[in-house]
Amino acid sequence: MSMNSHTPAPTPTPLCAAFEPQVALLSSGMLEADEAAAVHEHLATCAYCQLQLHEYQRLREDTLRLLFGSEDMPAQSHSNSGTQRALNGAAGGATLDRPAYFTLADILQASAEAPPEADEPRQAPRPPEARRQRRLLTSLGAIAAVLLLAVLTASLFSAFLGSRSPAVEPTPTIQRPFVPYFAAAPGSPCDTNPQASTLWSQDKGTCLTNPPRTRLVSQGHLLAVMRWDAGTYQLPQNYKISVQVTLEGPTTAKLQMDDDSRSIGHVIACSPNHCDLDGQSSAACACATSGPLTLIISVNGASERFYVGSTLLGSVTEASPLHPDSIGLGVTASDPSAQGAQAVFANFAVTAT
Amino acid sequence: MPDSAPAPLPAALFAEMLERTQVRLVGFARGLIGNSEDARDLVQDVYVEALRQAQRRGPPFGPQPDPAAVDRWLYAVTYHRAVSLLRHRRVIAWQPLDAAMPEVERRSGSPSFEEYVVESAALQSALARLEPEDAACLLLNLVQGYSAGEIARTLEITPEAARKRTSRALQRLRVAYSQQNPTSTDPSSPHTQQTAAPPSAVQKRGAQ
Repeated sequence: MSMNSHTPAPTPTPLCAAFEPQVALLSSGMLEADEAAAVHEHLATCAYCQLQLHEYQRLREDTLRLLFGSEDMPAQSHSNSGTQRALNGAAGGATLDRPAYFTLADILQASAEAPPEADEPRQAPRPPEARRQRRLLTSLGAIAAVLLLAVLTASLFSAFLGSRSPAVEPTPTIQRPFVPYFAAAPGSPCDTNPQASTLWSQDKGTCLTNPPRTRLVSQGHLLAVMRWDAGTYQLPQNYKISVQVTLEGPTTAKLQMDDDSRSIGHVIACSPNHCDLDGQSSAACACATSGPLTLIISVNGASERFYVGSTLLGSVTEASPLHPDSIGLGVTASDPSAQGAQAVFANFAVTAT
Repeated sequence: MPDSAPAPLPAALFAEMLERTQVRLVGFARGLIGNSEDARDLVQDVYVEALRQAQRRGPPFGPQPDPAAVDRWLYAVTYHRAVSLLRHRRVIAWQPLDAAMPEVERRSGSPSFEEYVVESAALQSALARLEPEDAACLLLNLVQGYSAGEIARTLEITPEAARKRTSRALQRLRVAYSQQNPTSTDPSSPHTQQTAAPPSAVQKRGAQ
């Protein structure tokens, strides 16, 4: 693509600027015949516009190559290339030589799984890992449906039997053993319990799955970007929750721990040059915007300590050891119209101490 | 007793439509939103919407569906969903911790792979700097070979606007591409600065 440095670059004539829009469109087939003739007439005597035309043609080919991936990289003559086929492929032309992304079965199963009239584009973009998982699940949809049916049938049958039994014990919630949780960014396992929305500032929030080797960048209005489903784990007596956050612009990042059963909700809020605990300002604390900060909630039995970096914001002692229902992360821009305000979350961890 | 409900679109017709349109539709979506995984997900959702529309026999999936009208419908829905997705990217986005890796599948033995990676990343970045409306016009012409009239019908704009947007998109893409990848095009073009996308356009579509 680079030009020969020994050849002087052609210089534009006074007419070239006027012709550039048409030169750009010449390969698109969007010019009227008389317009195309006029452009060709100019091109016949203008080396500069010939070069422009060549570059526009090259740009179109490069763009098609990008869109259709390396499989369609033209390796031989352009006349047989995937890009050229795509250019010529309108109105029932030849198809591109690529494996299909979807089958009819895929779409049928995706339709069965999607809620009716779902307006999914209004949801936050799902991370790649979740999407791959979704497609895998899609392919397993039929199996899952059969299993679900079997489970429902079994449930109904057992309920029928249970109605004739003198006593039915409620099934206890089985908590999974705690294992230290690390994520490059806030992520799964996420609390999908609808009631959890009331735990996070009345914000509905969004459950996200953290793709490997990524960080989460969030900006805008108050938004719970993650709720770690702490209630399903047997948390140890002593543990620490931490997340690294970088503030850019007039943003507030929050790390919150909730216990719905006891109406406990503690939040560290960190904004530029200010930080507080449960709405109470801490004079000793400043959340700089020059680099990443670490928000920490440290729990020892019934005692909690809250830090921004190494600065202790405060401590709280509860009546009994804490087993929070959820741990949330969020961000809010103090001015909704603020441009560029964002919080970057990384290195979320829940570890035993 | 006659059944008042419309007969659903035969599965074979839908499967044929799927086969015929999906590669280009994913390419179109990828050009708009700049990510293959997002594009495939988005297009899958478009086909789900199409399936439901076809089951209702809603337009354009009437008694005798016109393939051209079906195509326009698919591209229009994809475009609107892509625009919606781009808006949401301004709120939440995942960024790689590693150095940015272009979304290409490595093919061993390809002598031009490294060059291809660099150029793809530059072009993707340049595409992201276009206004969505301009990018859609360009991509409909590139991917589907649509004329100004067909673009106009798909995006519900005038043919003249489709032409202007396509031309503008090409000129801005060329400028942005040459800035990202100086070996790609002639950086000495005196028109380069005249046609550069305004900062607002960069902010509008640029991922965080």
